[in-house]
Amino acid sequence: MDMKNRVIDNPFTLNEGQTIALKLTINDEQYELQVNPTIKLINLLRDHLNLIGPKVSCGIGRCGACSVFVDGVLVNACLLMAYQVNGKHITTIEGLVGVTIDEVQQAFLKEGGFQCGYCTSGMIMTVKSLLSTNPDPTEADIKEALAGNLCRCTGYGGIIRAIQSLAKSKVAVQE
Amino acid sequence: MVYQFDGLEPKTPFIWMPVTVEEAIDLKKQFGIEAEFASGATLLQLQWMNGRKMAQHLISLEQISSLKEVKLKNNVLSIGALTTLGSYQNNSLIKENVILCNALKTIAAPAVRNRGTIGGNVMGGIGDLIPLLLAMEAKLYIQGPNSSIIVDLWDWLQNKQITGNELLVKIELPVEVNEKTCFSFYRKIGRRETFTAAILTVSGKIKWDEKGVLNIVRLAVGGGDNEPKRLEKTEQLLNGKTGEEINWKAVYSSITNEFNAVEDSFISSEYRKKIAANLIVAELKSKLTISSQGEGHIYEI
Ligand SMILES: Cc1cc2nc3c(=O)[nH]c(=O)nc-3n(C[C@H](O)[C@H](O)[C@H](O)COP(=O)(O)OP(=O)(O)OC[C@H]3O[C@@H](n4cnc5c(N)ncnc54)[C@H](O)[C@@H]3O)c2cc1C
Ligand code: FES
Ligand code: FES
Repeated sequence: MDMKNRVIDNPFTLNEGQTIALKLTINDEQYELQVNPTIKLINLLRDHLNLIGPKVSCGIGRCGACSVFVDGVLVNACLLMAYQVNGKHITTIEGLVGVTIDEVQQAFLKEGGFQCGYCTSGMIMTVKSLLSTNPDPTEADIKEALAGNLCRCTGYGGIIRAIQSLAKSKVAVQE
Repeated sequence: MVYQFDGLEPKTPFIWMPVTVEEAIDLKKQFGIEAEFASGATLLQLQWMNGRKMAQHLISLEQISSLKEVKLKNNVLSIGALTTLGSYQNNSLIKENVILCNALKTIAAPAVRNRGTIGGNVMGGIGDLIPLLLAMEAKLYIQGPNSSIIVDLWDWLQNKQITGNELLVKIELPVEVNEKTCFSFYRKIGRRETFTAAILTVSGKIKWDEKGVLNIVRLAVGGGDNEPKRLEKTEQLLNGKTGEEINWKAVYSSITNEFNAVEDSFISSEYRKKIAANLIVAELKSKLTISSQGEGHIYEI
């Protein structure tokens, strides 16, 4: 069993106001929060911790605007409740930025992978997830990976080009 | 950093995180209808959003590691209820089961599949996997308040004694060893991008002997709001026959009669029945016309 989650193993950590003591790491920073156990991760991030990179659109797992990583796995922050992320490591789009912007962000800029930008943080998280498991995806792989991310502006052409440019460049580097 | 947030919702449920099946069952016994099991909670959240009342006690199964086990023994694939829909990406035993992988890939999108579970898909009662599991002769290992049972999924679905207190521990799926005398299919028809549930899902499995006589036929429909169902009368029309002997017109109309397809403002029940019959007949013919009749033989409906 994952010891990191023991904090809420015991239901008596719930106090009368039905809050839980939530410990989690977000973009390498540790937090200890007293929260409603069913508050959505996306609300926690945006409304309380001011991490507004992940966006909310559908609020129910259909559009991918809220995509983040939990322990390195792609998830919809609008479909996760606080009790489900206790002890976990969360990465938001803000966590990708180092000294320079991430290569996926760079590719989106170069290939015109966005217009209004509302879907972009979710797209980039999804693309990062895809490339981490499949560095040289086919167009079919790309479409399948993006099945849960909606964009109302681009028609997806620039997004797919951006991903293909990365896939190709990775192959070139490997050679 | 320590934060204290205001604005608690009045109906926040109590969250329980048992670490064993027994603890989970005890909690369910204690709170009865006021408690609900939650695995990935992806379906539950969709239902709450659509107005379903949240239970007062939520018994999360996520900490029960025994529910995550996947094993293959004596040609039976045992899939722990907490196995995620996305498990085909990294679990080698699931990866090897091609039809199961194909079905898993049709459910939701990758990020939802990373959270939603196979057990939740079955116990939610409307999951797209149910027709596949019906066709594949799946058995459920169910832990009830006082005892455990292993039950055929179809028997379970028809069992009117279900109390809602039962916990699904694992699903057992026979794995075919001789693929030359067996054929299975799974097809989902949906319009995912329009945010609607599947129009329908069909699945089937047939096996035949050395003379090409069908000796196992399982056909199932479901998906979306359609009640999952085995097409037992249609199965009888096929069982014991070779491809040559099958009356395809009768099979087609039997499917349309047996399938209680739902109707909504956009898609009629008749239309769904037709799609189901077309898909199932086409799949069966694709195999039976080639394996028992030689290539090029075309039946007309
Ligand atoms: C955006 C989106 C798209 C979706 N698309 C599809 C789709 O294409 N096809 C499809 O079939 N589904 C779809 N779903 C529904 C859902 O994601 C899946 O059915 C998923 O498999 C449910 O698993 P879960 O672990 O989240 O279940 P939960 O929500 O945790 O539980 C579902 C139900 O099963 C019960 N339950 C869960 N586990 C157990 C157990 N071990 N024992 C007893 N009872 C249990 C719960 O009490 C609850 O009633 C979608 C959901 C979303 C949000
Ligand atoms: S806001 Fe989370 S998927 Fe749409
Ligand atoms: S760039 Fe506007 S929604 Fe995608």
